Amino acid sequence: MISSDQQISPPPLPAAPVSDQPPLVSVRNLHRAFGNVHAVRGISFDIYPGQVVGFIGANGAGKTTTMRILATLDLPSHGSVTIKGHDLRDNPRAVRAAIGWMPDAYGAYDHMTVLEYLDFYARACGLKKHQRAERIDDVMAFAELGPLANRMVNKLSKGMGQRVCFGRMLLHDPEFLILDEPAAGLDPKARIEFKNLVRLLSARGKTLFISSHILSELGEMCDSLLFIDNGQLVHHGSAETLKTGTTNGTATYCIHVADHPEKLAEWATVQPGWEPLETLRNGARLRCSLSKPEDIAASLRRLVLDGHNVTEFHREERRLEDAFVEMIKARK
Amino acid sequence: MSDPSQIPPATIPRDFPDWLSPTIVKEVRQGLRSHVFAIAFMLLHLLLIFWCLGSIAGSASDSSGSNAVFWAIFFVGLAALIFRGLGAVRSEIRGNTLELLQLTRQSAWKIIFGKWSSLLLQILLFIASLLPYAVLRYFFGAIEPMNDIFLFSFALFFAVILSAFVTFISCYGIWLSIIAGLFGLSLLYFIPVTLLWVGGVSLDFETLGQLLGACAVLAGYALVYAATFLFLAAGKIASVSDNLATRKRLAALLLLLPPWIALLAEADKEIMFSTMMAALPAAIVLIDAVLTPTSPAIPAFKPFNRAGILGRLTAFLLGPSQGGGILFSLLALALFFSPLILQTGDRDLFIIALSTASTLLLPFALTRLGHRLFPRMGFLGRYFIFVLLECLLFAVAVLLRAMDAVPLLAGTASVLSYFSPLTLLFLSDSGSWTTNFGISFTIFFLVSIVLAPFVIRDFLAVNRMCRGERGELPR
Repeated sequence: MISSDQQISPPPLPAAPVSDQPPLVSVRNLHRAFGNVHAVRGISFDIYPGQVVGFIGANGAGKTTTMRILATLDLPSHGSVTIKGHDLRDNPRAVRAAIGWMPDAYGAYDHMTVLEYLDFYARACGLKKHQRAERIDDVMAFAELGPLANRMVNKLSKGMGQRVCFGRMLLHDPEFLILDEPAAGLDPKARIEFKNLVRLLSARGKTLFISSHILSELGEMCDSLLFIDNGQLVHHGSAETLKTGTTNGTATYCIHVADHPEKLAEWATVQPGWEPLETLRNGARLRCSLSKPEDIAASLRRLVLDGHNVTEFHREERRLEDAFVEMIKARK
Repeated sequence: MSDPSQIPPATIPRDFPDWLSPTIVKEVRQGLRSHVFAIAFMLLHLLLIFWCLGSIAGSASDSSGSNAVFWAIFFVGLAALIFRGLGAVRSEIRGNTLELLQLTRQSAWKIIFGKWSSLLLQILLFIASLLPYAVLRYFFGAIEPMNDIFLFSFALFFAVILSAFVTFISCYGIWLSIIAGLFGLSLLYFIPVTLLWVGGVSLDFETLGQLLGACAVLAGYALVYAATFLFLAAGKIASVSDNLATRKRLAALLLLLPPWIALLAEADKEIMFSTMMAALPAAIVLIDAVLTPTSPAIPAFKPFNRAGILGRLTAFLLGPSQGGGILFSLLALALFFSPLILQTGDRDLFIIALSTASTLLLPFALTRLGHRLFPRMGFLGRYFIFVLLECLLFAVAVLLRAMDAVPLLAGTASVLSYFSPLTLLFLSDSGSWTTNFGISFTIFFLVSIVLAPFVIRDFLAVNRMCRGERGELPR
């Protein structure tokens, strides 16, 4: 994986394989230009079967353009995308059979019930009588659409509509699901339901690619996160890497002591690789530039031997939002 | 979330068989619930009942007026129903559902054909519901059964064409739809008149053979026109690996066939002219061929390779290739003008043919030369800016002509023609045939010089894609 402090110059390297299987999605040097505006500038990454990948970026960073290309709704200006071994330019039909697409605005029709809506899309997917009935039953049960079956699809709340959209996306049982801002505009209850649906889909072995502005939620749900800024990939790794990762090669440690917390700052000033940040009521926050675990263990040993009664010693986790902002600032 | 076994299975709708297009099923289900259609339908019948009562109360001498009222109600109702189709594809685009539909197994052609079929079904329902009133008219007198059959057939075939046209237009934005809607309204006048000329018939049918002949001409044209518009619509929403270019271009060639038949049958000049007029909708295919970029998808070309070098040449001319589209448009224009040139031997037609070709291709050439002029614009934006320039200069030529300033500004013709080739036709009487032909040929030659490298590079790319290799397309 590429760590957060590495600045990636295009074309970036794909993340290291996380399984023995070949990647389900392979994106290489993807470019998309609209006239003179370059929305996506040479991004490369792989997504492996069963992964849940979060896609994060500010408005206009190139998220939706990339997702639309993956969904075969747009074409790259340069570069290649293969999904399940099929190039999306050469065989969009095979790619479409393997993907499920959920746009930010779910499409509803007038004068149509939820059941008719699902029946229409099941017919459009080529499902015949019994198979169609089975699939509709399955997705209705999965997304808890039973009570909504005879409601008009254009009269549903955003959360209910999102569940119908989930059901529609799953009708042809795709392996790779692309969800563009699925949690946008959902109330807290619908958001929890959405997270549950993602977990269930992941448990069923589906591969998910989700874009969202709510980074904390993505951190909880995703195995891997992709950060995009100004059309370029700036990070590809797990949420853990980001949370425990370093900024400019440093990490922040929080140390609690039983007595004399003010002495911790004094201790840090004379120790190589340590620097005081803030004195707390029962300890201090220190910046550490040491990277080797044995060096950090030696520091802790010295701290105890120097007479500090340490009650807690831990590395602080960054919030994903902070990590994202720091990364964008560092690029600028 | 839930255990599927605990929830009773939903009863899926079984109102329509599996073989029916999902789009038709959807449209009919929605249509049956739409109050607008039901209310409009009932109002129409109320109007016709009033018309019946009025006709019964009126005298026999009023029957022609009564007939006119019936046909007015019929055609207005029909037109209103047809123009409802303007929202066919646009409603899907606006509702974010077209993309969802494109991701299913429905091809662009199936989507468009389904939309058009459902519109046509509503039209058939409308016509069928009006038939009892049409029969009632026989009791009011002064009815010509042959003419009635022809008018109903004419209405049906005309509805087939216009419904396909509005389906095509509904793939575009609202402004283009308004402009094209006006064009469609002009078709309301243009196509019937042309078709009647082509059939060489008037409304006074003396024999059943005459009636069947006229209906056959109408049916033939209706099918080819409808297919052309539907292929164009499907091409607008198709993915790059779907080759609809071949079908569009073959339909255009089919429209160019009747003038050749007229030439071989030694038909008179009027018939030849009317078949040429009837071929004019092929111009939309020519513009589409010139403006649609070459598909970067190998599957769109690979099937052509089975026929070897001939197949690859066909792929270039009839496949989704922009360079091939340029050559195809030139070939089509040659096919369009040749019968009349061969029949009349009129030398001026050479100038008209060259100027028409240059008018179509000059904006493309300028777009390639002048891409630094409007760097933020894409190909289409720049193309239409130069088309606008052509139109403005054409308007200047019309003004000069109206002001009778041509003799004074003899040199203007040649200068304006280099930027708007059709201008030459308007100001052509200011110079000799040799001069005007020289100008039109020079413009065409210059345009060809600019476009030749593009066409050659495109041909090489298509040739590679036919063989299954990735070709570098000209930008």
